[in-house]
Amino acid sequence: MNLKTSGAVVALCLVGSILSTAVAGTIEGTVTYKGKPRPAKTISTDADPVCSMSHEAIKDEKFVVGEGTDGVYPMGNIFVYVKSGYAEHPYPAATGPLVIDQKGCTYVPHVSGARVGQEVEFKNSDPTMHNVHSLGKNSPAFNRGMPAGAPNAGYAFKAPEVMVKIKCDAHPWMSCYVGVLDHPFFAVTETDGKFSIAGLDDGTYVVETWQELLGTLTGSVTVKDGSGTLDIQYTRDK
Amino acid sequence: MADKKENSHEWDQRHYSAHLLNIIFALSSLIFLASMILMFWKDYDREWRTHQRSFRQVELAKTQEALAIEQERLTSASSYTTLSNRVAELEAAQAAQKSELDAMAVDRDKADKKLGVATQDLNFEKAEASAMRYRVEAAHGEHDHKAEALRAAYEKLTLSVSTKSSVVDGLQAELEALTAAMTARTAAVDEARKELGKVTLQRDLLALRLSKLDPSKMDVATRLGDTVRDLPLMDALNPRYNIRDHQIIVEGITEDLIFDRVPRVDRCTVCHLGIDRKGFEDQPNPFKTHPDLDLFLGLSSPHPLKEFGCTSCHGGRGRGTSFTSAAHMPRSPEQAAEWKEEYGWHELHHWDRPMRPAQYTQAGCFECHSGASQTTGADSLNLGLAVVERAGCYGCHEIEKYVGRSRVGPTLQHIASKVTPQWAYHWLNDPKGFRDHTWMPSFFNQTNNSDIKDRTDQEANAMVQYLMRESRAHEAAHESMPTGDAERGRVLTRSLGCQGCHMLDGETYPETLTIQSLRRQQGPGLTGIGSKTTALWVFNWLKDPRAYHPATRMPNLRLSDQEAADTAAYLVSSRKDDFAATPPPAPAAEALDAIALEFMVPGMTRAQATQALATMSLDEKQQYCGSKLIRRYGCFGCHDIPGFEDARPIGTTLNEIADKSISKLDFGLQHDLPHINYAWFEQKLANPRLFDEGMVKEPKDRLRMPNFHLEPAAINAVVTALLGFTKPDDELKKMVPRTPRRIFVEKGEALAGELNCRGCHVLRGDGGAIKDSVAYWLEHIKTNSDASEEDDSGEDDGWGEEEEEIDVAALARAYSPPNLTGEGAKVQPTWLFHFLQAPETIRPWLTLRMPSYGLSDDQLNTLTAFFSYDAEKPFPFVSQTVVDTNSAAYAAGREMFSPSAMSCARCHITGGQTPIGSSEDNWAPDLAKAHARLRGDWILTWLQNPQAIEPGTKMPMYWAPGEQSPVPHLDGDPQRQREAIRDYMFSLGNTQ
Repeated sequence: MNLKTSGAVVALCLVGSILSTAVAGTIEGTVTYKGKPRPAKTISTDADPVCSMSHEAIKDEKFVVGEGTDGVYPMGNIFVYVKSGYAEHPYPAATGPLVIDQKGCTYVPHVSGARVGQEVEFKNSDPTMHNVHSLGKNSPAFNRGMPAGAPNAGYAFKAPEVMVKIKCDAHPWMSCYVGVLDHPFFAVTETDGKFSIAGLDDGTYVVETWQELLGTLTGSVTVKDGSGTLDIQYTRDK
Repeated sequence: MADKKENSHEWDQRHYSAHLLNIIFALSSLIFLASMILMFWKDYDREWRTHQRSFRQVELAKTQEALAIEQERLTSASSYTTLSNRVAELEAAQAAQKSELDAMAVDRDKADKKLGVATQDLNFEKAEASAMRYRVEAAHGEHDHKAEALRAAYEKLTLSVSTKSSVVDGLQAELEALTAAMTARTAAVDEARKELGKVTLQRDLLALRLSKLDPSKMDVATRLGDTVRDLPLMDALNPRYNIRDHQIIVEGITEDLIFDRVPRVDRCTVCHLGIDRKGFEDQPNPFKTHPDLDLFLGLSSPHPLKEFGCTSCHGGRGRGTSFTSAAHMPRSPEQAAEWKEEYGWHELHHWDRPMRPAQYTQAGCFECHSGASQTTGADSLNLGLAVVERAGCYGCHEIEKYVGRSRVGPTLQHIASKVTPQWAYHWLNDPKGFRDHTWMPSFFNQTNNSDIKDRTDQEANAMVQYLMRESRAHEAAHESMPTGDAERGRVLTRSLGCQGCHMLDGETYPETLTIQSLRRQQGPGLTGIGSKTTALWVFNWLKDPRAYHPATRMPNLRLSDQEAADTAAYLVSSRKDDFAATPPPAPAAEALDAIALEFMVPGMTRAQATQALATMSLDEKQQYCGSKLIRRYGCFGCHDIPGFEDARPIGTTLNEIADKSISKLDFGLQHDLPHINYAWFEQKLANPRLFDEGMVKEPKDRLRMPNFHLEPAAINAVVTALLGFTKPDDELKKMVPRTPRRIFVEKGEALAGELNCRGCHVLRGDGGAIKDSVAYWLEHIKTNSDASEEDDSGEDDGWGEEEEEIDVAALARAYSPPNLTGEGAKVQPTWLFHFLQAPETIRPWLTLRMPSYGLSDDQLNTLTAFFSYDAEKPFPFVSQTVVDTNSAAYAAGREMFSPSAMSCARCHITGGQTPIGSSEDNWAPDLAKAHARLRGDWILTWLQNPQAIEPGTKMPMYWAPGEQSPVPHLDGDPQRQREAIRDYMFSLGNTQ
């Protein structure tokens, strides 16, 4: 008994030490776009009077960039994640749920990341009916109707999948994407294009970025003395 | 004495030498001994024993491995660690109190003993009392004066009994108290051990199994026994390795022994030891796990091992315990050679049911499932039956399953109004030259008649001329047609659903025939039509196929004149003009005479025949030969031909073909071919004329079966079906039970197959052959027409439209024909009957059109019953859902239906009103039609969990199990809410 207990303690200490040493390692970088950006399109919401009356015009979020110079723009709504190189062991579960709100007949946020098994909470802040239809292939089917005022609907992805598209059949323009991973090394960029993924040991990692229209790009980055930098640039020039 | 001596002398005077005999006896006893030893050794060394011994090693390794994995799993599981720690802790705590507990145990034992003594004492006293009571009663009866005294003694004894009894009670209570005190002390440990036991159950079971397998885990005595009992000779007693424990006596299946029937005994599992056990998938045979335990052998499968054994499906000699004596059959000559080398295998002669070679195993399914058109899991058999149906084998060969089926080919009653004699001549000569995937087989230019091409050309022409002369006038309904637009027609053929049954010009056929690709060949491939017939003929045909061919399977798509004209224009735009470019040969009197003589001579002398021929004109000769040749070749097996309406099929029956004696199959000069029925079938299908090779035969005696140019996969499938056509065994108790439900379902399945419902619909989980065509239509046709409609006002931002990727897979579902799996549970039989009779539009966004089949009442009833019975729903009457429009629930239903809550009309059409603003790929069926169409109970199930009924549906789930209802109506009670919505929906458009 004593042996077993001490074994468990040692194991715990090991996990603890891995985590404590790992916290220092961070990959940072910026995702940019070079070229003429796609203008955000206005979505017609006439289909549902509730959507068209209660909100200003909705812009689609398929391509979001910030202020840029010399034809290079920082990109928002990019899902960045470590594709390989990280240690394959169970990571501590995520704390708290991922909340995706249906607000103004769009999903907020448009792009997000979730852990396998993490609770994903769908919220309906609109005074109209939405349905949350996950088109994920690796996790069980999910299609929930949420009338105005419905309590939040919970869901948990069962397997990694980059990306899972979620859409509303009642409002065909509504869609959002969730990157599902079994580890915590991912981030989503804001319009400044910056991302930071912490908790990595020193080592070399393959990082992939995902953009809704332009697809994925991969890069390799080495974390040394607790830091590594990786900038990724999208372009449509062939 | 003297005699004796003399005798002994005589005896000594024997004619043989005792010494020699001694040697002979010694030798023969040695030989006897050796042969004894050899015999025991031979028995000990039998194949199955070797297998059982090595299987034990495999099982041992597997169990050890599983145990290690399970142990590891336990060690890493927190519940195990917690529990085992707890047990250890408690055990330690208990150990600390050992002396106390021991003392308690001593006390308890003492109390137990005391109780035992007291109980015995009491029982003796009771016996005394009983005896005394008898004596008292006896004394009373005899008026004995001692009665009173005895009575007093009895009273005294009774008193003593009650005293002793209370002593026992006291001791009993004392013992119980002591036991309880002890249990209380140990309860925690016992409870914790029990909990731990639940977690470690799997491991403990594995450990138990291991203890029976692993000699190193056994105690000395067991281990010794384990070794000794399997020694040669000793193994007669109670061996571990035996047949008895492994054989299966199959109940309800008997074997015919001429005058008696004996139960079938399958000893296959004596060697195939891992066959019904998971985990041996990676082992070589004979230990390998069966590839489909869910369908076979498993306890919960439909064919449990103990009930079905092995040979009822696989064939073979169940009692055999060696590789050869089990009647294994190789899949190929190469495998046969391999087996000879490895197992000394030879074919087991004089055994009627050798094992089916692996590629034909599914033939066994047909023995019991002969009523079904499709048997789950028997893909090859299903394909084989489908090919038999599509090729129309039953046209020439009687097959019980298909008796009464209509002919597969088009009618030739009005052929002159459809094609030219020149085209028909070339078609008959070389159908593949016109359409390389046609199901019309080739009669001419085959291996056994290409040497007499001049003659066969005359034959073909004579038959065509006969057909043209006999062709009956056909009054087409339309003598003219609107001008058709081929491009519009192209779009129509791709959007109406033609591709459920036809391959269009330019489509590629998949490399391997599958049951799904076969569905798309229900009708002819639509190529070269412009060179075959006229646009007007096609127009008339499309408008009303039955007017031309009453028995056709082509349904009516209710095309408008313009639609039919456009489609016809498109179809005839496909041409193959070089196919029938040359005229047929002129009739040659000499050749025709020779042909005619063959037919005339058996009935008259040659001179008479010649004389008769001399009086005939060339046309008459051609006519005579054409008619006789049509009979010889059996064209009427597939086509309705004037003058041959009631002709009998020409081929040999295929009923019980699998049992046909090999000596009745003519192998001709094909000596290299194994003399096995399936080898013959394979060759016959690959080249039906092969067995004429090298034979000297008159043209009339040559083999006539035409060549279907079947590909290997199709041949394999058809042979599987043929091997299933066996003599039905009346004693077969495993036959699929002939319940009314099953009969209705089988009848409906057969009709659904004939009508090719699965070309468009998924039915019972299978079908929907048109799906890829729908995806193609979405990608290449619909998007183009949508794009041209969109006004392109926005200036070019340099990004174009490429980004607007369409999710074809998701959209194809929205535009595909509805899935009919579970349709019987969904719709009302009356509605289904009327819908099949005269289809109405349910899904206006679909361009595909449910055709009118012109079904008879009998067929309509067959299909309606099929759907209901398949879904195990009552048929034919269903009660109507009564809706009280004044109730509060109804008002709640209306509210929940409205945009403020579930907003049903956001996607669903209601009373013809299409959803406002929603694109048509999001539309859902008209709810105002629900009251007449849907079963009330189905709606409730559907609302509860739409994904469970149709995975991937856009219909969302509103009531997640265990969660609060999303709307507050009717006290938030989901069931009442669903009923209220259903009731409100049923009131829509219900004019009653």
